[in-house]
Amino acid sequence: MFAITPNALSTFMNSISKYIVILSFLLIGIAAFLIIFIENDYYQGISFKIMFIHVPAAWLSLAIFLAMGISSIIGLIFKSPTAFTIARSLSPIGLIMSIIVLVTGSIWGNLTWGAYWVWDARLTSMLILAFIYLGHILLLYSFEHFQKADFAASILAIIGMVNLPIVKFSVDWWTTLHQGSSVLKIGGPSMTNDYLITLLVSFLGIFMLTMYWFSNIFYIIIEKRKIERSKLLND
Amino acid sequence: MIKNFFKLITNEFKLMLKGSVFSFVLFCLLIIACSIFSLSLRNESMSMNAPLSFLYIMIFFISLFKVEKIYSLDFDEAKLQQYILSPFSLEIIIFVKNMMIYLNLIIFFVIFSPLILIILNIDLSYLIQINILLSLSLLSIIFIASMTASITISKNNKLSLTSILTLPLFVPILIFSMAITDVIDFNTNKMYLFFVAYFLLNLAFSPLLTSFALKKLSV
Amino acid sequence: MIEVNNLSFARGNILIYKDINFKISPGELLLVSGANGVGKTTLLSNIVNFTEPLEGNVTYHGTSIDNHIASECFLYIGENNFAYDTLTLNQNIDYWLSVHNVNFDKSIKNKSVNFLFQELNLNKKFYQLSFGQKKKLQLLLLMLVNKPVWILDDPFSGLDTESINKISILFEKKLENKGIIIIASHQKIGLNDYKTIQLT
Repeated sequence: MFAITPNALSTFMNSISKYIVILSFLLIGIAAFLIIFIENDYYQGISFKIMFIHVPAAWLSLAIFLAMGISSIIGLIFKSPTAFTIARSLSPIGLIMSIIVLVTGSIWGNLTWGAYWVWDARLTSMLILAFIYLGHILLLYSFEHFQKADFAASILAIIGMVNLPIVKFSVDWWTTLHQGSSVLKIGGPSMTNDYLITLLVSFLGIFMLTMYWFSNIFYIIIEKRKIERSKLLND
Repeated sequence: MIKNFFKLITNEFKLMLKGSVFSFVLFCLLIIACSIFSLSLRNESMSMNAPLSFLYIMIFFISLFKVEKIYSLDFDEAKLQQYILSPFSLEIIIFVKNMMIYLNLIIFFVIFSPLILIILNIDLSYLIQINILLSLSLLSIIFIASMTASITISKNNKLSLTSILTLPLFVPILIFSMAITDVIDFNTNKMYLFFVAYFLLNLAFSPLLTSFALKKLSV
Repeated sequence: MIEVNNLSFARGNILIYKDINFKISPGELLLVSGANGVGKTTLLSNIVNFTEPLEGNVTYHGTSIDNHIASECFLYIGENNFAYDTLTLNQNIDYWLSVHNVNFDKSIKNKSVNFLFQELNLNKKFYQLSFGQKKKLQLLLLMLVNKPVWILDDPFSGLDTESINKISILFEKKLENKGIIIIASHQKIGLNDYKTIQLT
């Protein structure tokens, strides 16, 4: 599996990307429909509906970092350029996702808690995750050559994985203002079924959109490298 | 081999003594900053969190500067080439160097800690607990800083990039220490387990990653 | 025996050299020469496996060189000085010998120091030395560390003629003992018989 060349993966992704984007728009459409027609929460009113963007983005920002860390480990062990390129093309998406989480979260927080920002463990660790994404991107583009940059950034991604369990379990370990997990927890989700289905559909839609985005970034990176390489060979 | 290893350690210790003036000055600055900080809060009955987190932030910066300086001096290209070609693996040399940086900082901290606690208005009965907490976290801080310093070792604008990369990685330590001090009874707090785990994880993996980064990125 | 096959190297997007082939058997000296910037230092660091080549490979007695083989068999003396400025000359020698895992007698050490430096106060700080003396400290490792292959990057820069002659004596002895020496330099070497490779 680690023997797949970046070029092969890039052509494969490019060929399926149009189906992914159609699927994602379909799912997001259904999710939007469901979100509009779902009942408002008894306590929070309409502001509660921001959850259907906030929660999928939060899951994705964690999952993307996990994927980045794992592909960095694979890249370092098997010296696989494909894994490095995957990590490289994932990090801007992760940054955008974590920014979405922070922005929607602070809007929601203002509506329900009355403050845009509180310094509790969940919020702070999420902010740190965004900064680690930022550092990863800065590191990637501060080296002249992509191989060195990939090595450096992959080490940062591996170190940064320590932050993931802190973000995930911060609501269980400390008493925070942020509410606890209601879907991924021991004893099953504590949500009514219609909310849960809406959440899952919206998550799948956003996930597919990220996949489409990821395949595009991957394709662009590979094409750029091809051009650079042909320049190098012609000189 | 063993004999030379101990010789290496003593030699590194000698090198550390040469640099200890630097950390002495840094700790004096820490104390001065502490006293200024405590002036602004002298009339309020402080909880322990505010002064302790202040102490932590100062220690973050001190260890960041120290590690950054040592790594850019001791692992420049010529020295690193000799270290790579030595029969001791680079991981061991890095480990020894990190431990020596740690010793250099922790000695001054332990000496000055009663003074710092008095200045910051913290009850002296917590002296031992705070020393344990800070000495455990300082080791983790130094190992993390060594990893990021080695990543950026071949760059020109090192310090700004290293700070951007390192400070986010320090903050989990700060969060956990504050969580420990929230519950005043240090001894029965399970959060200590996190520190021990984090510390062992660092000891095991950071020399590997550091040496990898040094080999790949700087020569 | 060191064999270099089809070696090419690129730094960033710039090709430094390509298709370099040569062979050195024990008891031979190779001089790598060429103008500034053609990649002499890079070639040496490629042989010692500090940097990985773009294509091709380097073998030592048939096995390709990794960090383990390099640390066992190769002694590399680079252009820049590796000594610590704050330590004295004596402490520097002790430090680097312990890094290279060498057990030595005081008498052997003193003998070799006398051979290179003659009358010199060993308790001088390193930064008080002149450029040539600093260079000699690096070359002192040649006498004290016993490894079959020497790889030297511009060893004669800043040395007076007397010291160059002494170093040449060292080279002759090394070659008699079936050692391999690779030198990158602009200068000619005072030996009768050696190979040359010209980088362009």
